[in-house]
Amino acid sequence: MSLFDKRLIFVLGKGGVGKTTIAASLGLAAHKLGKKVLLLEVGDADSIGPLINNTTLPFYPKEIYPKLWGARINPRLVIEDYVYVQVGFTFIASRITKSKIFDHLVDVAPGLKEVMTLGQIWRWDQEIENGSNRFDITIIDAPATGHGLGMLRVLPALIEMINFGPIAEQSKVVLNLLKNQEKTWITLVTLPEELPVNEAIEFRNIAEKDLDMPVNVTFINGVYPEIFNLEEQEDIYKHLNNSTNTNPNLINIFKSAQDEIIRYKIQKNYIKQIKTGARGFVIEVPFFFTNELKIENVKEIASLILKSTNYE
Amino acid sequence: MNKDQFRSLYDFIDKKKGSRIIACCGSGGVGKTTISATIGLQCAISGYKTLVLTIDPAKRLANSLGITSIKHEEQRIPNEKFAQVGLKPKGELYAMMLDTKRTFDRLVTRYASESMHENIFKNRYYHHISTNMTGSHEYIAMEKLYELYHQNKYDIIVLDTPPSRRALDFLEQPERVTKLLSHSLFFKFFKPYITAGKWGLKMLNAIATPILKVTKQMMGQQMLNDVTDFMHLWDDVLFDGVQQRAFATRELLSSPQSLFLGITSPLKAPMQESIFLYNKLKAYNLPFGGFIVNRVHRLYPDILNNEEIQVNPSLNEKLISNFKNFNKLAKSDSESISNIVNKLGNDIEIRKITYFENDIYDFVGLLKVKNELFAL
Repeated sequence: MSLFDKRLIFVLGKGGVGKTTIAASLGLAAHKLGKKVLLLEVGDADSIGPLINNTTLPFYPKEIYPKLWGARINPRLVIEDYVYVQVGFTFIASRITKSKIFDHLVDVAPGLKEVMTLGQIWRWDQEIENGSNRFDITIIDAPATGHGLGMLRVLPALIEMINFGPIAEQSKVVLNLLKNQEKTWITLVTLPEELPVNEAIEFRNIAEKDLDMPVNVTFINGVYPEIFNLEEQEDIYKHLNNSTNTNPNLINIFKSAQDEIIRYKIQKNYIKQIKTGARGFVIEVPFFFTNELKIENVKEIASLILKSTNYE
Repeated sequence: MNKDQFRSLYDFIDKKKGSRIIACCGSGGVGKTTISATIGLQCAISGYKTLVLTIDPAKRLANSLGITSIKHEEQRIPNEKFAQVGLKPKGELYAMMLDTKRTFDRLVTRYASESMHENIFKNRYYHHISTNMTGSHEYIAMEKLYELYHQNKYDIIVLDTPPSRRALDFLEQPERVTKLLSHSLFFKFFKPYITAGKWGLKMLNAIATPILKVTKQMMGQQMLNDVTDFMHLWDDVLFDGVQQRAFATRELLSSPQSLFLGITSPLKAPMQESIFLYNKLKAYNLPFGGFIVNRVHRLYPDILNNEEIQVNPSLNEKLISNFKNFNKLAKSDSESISNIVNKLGNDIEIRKITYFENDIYDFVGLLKVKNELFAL
């Protein structure tokens, strides 16, 4: 059970749970182990680049730091590349990709964008440079829609639909890679809140039973620290209920202590729920008291991941 | 920014005549469903027959409304639920969750000739677009909204839109929305071949333009069969029906009978998303009623003098650092809201909702949100 021995790590979860932060942290963690890392962002969003390097990631792998590459996957571009490869003639290929009908075909073809995205991930994974793999590990920040499940579901569905032809063949190869737990791990990000926890549990079941790609690492993001012990909590409540207390600053201080205590308790319950039945690692990522995480926070999470997965 | 200025929504609920729509837009995880339910609650209390329409499998919405689950039919929230918290609604509150597949099927039964129904339902491509094609949910939300609106059963429909950018795709030319289904260009292109012979695929093969060759290579023959079959089944009548509806829905949403609200939290990503949303709404000249910023931390005055806070020497440090942490967050929230104002101008209406220490999971919680959202 070694997280960073894998070739591919998918980071999945619903929107707003902090997938990008976790993907970036996983990237930095693998990088710290000396791996050649490719960090990929799939979907409309452009958040990894700004988070780790104050830039927008390009559509092809670019070395951000030595041995750490980043890219965003644009399905449309991948499809165009694919047509060039299939046709072989630049002139004809460009006529095709520029035609309106091709545009429409790409839109109506079910799952084409998803399968092209996965195909691109696979091709980069397979790339050889100077006799060895160009990348040791690829971390994929999946799109938020449908928990990124749609992207993984598309392969079996597509193979069933098209049956044969180059795309079906490619899909089969990629599906084998995804289902091979020696090479691919699915990780899931959630928050210790009602809705995210319910959905995470639902996701976990689908991933394991329907997709045969179990979740091996669960990240619980934004976990409040336990600051006050029971005795201190009692003290705090005593002060809160003390009506002779009129110093407004003091009251506010106790009120925010109460906020902390209540949230910590609520979260604890949800953390318990998500831990029940989880396989592999469950990593509690602390809440940072800010609305915008910085690279320092990402580095901190990276160390936490290494510790929690027995690397440090 | 004046906290008492959230007139657009209040006036829209209380002064506007005729059936109306309130669309809550925003990214996931900001409490959009809770806010939608709260607005629905307020409308019902104010005397309107109100429906909250959601697309998420919203267990939380069901819980907060005091019902066990939300059905795919309109479902009345019993008056006892209101009575339990001391309220007597002058209107009625209903909730409903959308079922994409079922709404698609109804579209077919409504517009396609009867002999076609079965074949359409059996078609694999139809199955795909009606269940998991990107954009299907969003399209169908609009479709259902239009249908419900014109049944004239409700004074107000509150729409909890799907949590993605695609929720706004209907704002683009309706052609783009209908493209999902009817795809005029694609259709026109294939039609001569389709009507020429048995699905015309032999013709397609014979013609084999580079485009089709590549398409076939990429999608496979079977796929192409399914799509062309589908296009054949999806006949002119259906095509026209869907297209007309898309135009009519857009017209309805641009009319003064609709109001859009941006729901967000102070976090960076949802804030950016809501600015994206705002610009899009403006670009299409749609009626915008302001932003509701959910989960804003209470901001307390800074402690100036640590000396006076000596309560308990061992606890003191922890208390102060915890207070500072929470206040740092609250300040970060304020900054995030000022940013929106700076970017979009002072006349933008913004309502803040406190980040309550408890989760909002029941009627009482909903009431707390309501009291802030509709406090004058």
